[in-house]
Amino acid sequence: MTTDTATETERVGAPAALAVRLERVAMSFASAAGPHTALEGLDLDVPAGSLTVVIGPNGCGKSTLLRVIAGLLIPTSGEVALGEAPDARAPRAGDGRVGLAFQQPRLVPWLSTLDNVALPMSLAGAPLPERRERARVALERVGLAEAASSRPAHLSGGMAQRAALARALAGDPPILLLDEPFSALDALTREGFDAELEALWMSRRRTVVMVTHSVGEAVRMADRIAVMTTRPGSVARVIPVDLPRPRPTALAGDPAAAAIDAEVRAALAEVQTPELTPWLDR
Amino acid sequence: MSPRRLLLPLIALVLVLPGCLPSSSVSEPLRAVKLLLGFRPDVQFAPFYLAQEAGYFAEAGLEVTIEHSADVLVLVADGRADFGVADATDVMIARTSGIPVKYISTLYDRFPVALIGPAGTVPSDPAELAGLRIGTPGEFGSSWHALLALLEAGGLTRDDVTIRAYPQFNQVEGLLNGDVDLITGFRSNEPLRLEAQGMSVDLLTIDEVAPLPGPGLIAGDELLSSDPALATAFAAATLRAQQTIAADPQVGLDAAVAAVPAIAEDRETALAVLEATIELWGGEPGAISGFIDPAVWGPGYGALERLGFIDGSVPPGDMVLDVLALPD
Amino acid sequence: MRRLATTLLSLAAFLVAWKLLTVVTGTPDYILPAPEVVAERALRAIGSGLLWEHTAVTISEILLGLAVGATSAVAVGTALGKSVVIERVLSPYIVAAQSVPILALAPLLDIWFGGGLLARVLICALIVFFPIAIATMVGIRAADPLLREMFRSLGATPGQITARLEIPSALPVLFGGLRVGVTLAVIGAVVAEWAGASSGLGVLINIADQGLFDTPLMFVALATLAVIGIGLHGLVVSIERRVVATS
Repeated sequence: MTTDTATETERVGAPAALAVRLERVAMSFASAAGPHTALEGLDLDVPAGSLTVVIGPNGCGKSTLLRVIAGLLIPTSGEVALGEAPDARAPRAGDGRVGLAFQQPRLVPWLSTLDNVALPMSLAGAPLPERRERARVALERVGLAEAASSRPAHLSGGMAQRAALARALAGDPPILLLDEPFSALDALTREGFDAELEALWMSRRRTVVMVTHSVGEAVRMADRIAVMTTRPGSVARVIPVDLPRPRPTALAGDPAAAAIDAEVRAALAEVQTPELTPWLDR
Repeated sequence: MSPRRLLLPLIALVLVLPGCLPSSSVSEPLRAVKLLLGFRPDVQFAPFYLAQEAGYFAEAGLEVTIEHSADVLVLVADGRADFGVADATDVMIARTSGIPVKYISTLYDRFPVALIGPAGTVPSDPAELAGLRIGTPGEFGSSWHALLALLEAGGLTRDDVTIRAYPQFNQVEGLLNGDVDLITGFRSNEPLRLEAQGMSVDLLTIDEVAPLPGPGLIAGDELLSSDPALATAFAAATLRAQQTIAADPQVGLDAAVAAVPAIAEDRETALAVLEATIELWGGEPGAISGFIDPAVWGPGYGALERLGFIDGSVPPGDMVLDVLALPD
Repeated sequence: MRRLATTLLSLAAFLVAWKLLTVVTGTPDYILPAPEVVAERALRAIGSGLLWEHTAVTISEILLGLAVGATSAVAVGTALGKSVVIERVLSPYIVAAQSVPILALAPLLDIWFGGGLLARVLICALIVFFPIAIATMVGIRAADPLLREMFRSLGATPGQITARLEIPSALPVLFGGLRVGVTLAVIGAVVAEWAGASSGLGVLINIADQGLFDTPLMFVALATLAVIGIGLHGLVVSIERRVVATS
C-alpha cells in the first residue's frame, strides 16, 4: 500500500478524525428465548485519531459494539456520540462518517472490483466518472490497481479483503471500524496486512477501532486496548500501549511489549467465567 | 303302413330335424365388435343403447362395445374400431385424402345442423346473411360445411359475413351475450338449450336450400371387403332400434338412461332432445330406412367440390357402400 | 461446433427411430406419418403461406403473454419475497388460481374479455405467471444476509437494497423460472386458442385433425410449436449467460 497523501479524495474542510464516545450503553435483542442482552453499562472513550483495539472472550459483544458505533444498531439505552461537543452526533449508517470492514470481504459478486469500491459513493448518488476515479485512487492506495476490472470471484482472499478495505476508505471517513478484518487470512499475510494498515493510518490519522481475537495483534497495532467482559459486555479495562511506531513485526523479544502482552492476558483471564477456563492460573 | 315301418324314418327325422332349424344365438359365440362414437355419451345415441339392451345386436350375432373418441374416422379406417358414426361431409374429405373408410348407412335423413338465431331475426333467404356476425365452433366439421354451403347458395362467401370461432362448442353463450347474430348448431340440441335460457329461436335449415347428406354409419375398407355381412347385420340391428324408438321414444330414453345414468338428471330435456332427433332421422318409423340417397349425395358432393373442400379426384361412388342394399 | 454436431446427430437418430417405427408397425400416414411425409407437408404449408399465417398469430400471443405475465410475476414475486405478511395474505389465492386447470378457466376468460387477442394474451399470461412469481420470490429471499448488512452499513435505502442487491441476487433463480415460463407460454397460447380463436397453431392443429383429417399437417403444426419453444428457451439461456454473473 502506498502512503496516504492529501489528494482530491480527502473531504475538504472536514476533520480527518472524529472521537467516539459511548456512555452507559446497553443493547438488548428480542429472541425466541426471551430478551438477550449483548451489552450493558458500557463506557468507552475513543480519542480522535487514535487506534483502539477491542478484545474480549467469545460472545462478549465486540461485534455488537462495532455495529452500535456504525449506526447499524440503535442502543436500547445509553448514549453514543461521534465527534467533539458541540458537534457530536449519534451515528447514522451511511452518512459517511464511518467506514466499516467485516471479517469477510462481502464484495458484491456481480460487480467489478472497481465498482465494488465505488459502491458507497454510487448509493450516495455520486456521478459515475467521479466515483470511478475516487475508487481507482482507493484501489491504488491498497495496491490493487491491476485488479480494478476483475470480478471478486477471481481475487484471492487477501486481495478481496484489501478491496473491502479500499471500499471502507474510499469516502475518506473520519472513523474506520474493523471487525476482525484479517482473521480469515493466513498468519503471514495477516502480519503483512497489519503492517500496511498501520502505515496507512500513520499517513492519515483517522480514528480506528479494531476488534480482534489475537492478543499479539492487539499489542502490535493499538494505542489503547479495551478489554471487554463476558456477556452482557462492558469495558473491564483500558490498557494503554506506549510502544514507539512504526512497530516492528517481531515484537516477541521486546520486554515492554511482553509486559503489555502479559497484562492483557491477565485482564482477559479475569473476565473469563472461571468454569470455562479452569486451566488459567488465577 | 304298419306303425313299425314308420319308426325308422321317424327316428331319423327326430335326429336330423334339430340340425335344420335355425340355431339359437345363445349356443353360438357372439362376434365382438367395437363401435366408436364422438363426443360424450348422449341421448342421441339411444338406438345403440337400445340395440344392446333389447338384444337386437345379440340376435344379429354381435356383441357391441361402445367407446368414445374424437378421432372416429381415422380409427375406424385403421381398423382399431369396427364401426363409427360420422358426418357424410367428413367422409367425403377423408376419403379424398386417401383414408380408407366408407359411409355404409344413413342415420339422419335430414341434415342436423342449422343456423339458429333469436326469433324474428333469422333470414329465410341465405342472401340476407350478408353482414351478419355468425358463431361456429371452427373451420372444421359439418357445421362449417353447412355454413359455407348456405353462404354459397345465397351468392355469398365467408368474407361477406363476420365469423367468430368457438372451439369449445359454446357458441350458445355467444348468442346469448349478443356477441353474434346467428350460430350454427344441432337442430336437436342448441334450440332447446336456448329456449331453456328464455330465448325463443328461429332456424334456417339447409335441406331445401343447399342439400348435404347427414351423419351415418361408417366402416373401414378392410372390414367391408373381408366381411360385408357383418356390416349389414350391424346396420340392420341399428335401424331396427331406430324404428322402435321412433314408434315409442320412451323406450329409447329408458335404454339411454340405463346405459348412461347421467341422462336421467334431466329426463324432460333428454326426451325433448330425443324427439327432435327422431324427426331428424326421418320422423315416422316407415320413413327411417338407412337409405343412402344419391339425390342428396350428388349435390352435396358438388357443393363441397366448388367450395374447395375436396378436389373431385375420388368419385362419390367410392365413398359409399349401402350395406343394407347388398344382396344376401 | 461440437455442440452443433451433437444436436444434429441426435436429431438424425430421432428421425431414423421414428421412420423405423412407422415401417415396423406399418401404421398408415393418417395415423402416424413418416418423417419424410411430414417434411413434404411442411414444405407445402410453408410455400402456400399457410404455416406462417398461423405461426405469426401464435408467436404474437406468446410474446405478449410473456411480456404481461413475466413482468407482473416479477412485481408480485418481489412483493411476496420482501413481505411475509403479503405472502401470507396472497399465497392462498395464487395457489388456488394455479390449481384450477386453465383449460377449464380459459373459455370463461375468453368470453369475459371479448374473445380477441387480449383474451388470449391474458390466458397465456396467467399460465406463465405462477412459476415466474415463485422463482422471483425465492430468489429475492436468496439475497446473502451478509451482503444485506453491508448494504445497510453503507446507508442503502430499502429501494436501493431491492434494486441493487435483491433483484440481482434473484436473477439465477429468476432465470430458472423464466426457462419454465417460456415453454409454458407456448402451451398457454395453444390453450388460449382452443378456448376461442380462429387462427393460430393451436387452431391449425384442430383444423388439420378434425376438419381435414390431415395428420401430417397436424404434425407440422406440433413441430413448429416445438421449434418455437426451443428457440425461446435458447434465447432465455443466452440472455442468462450475459446477465447473470458467473462465479
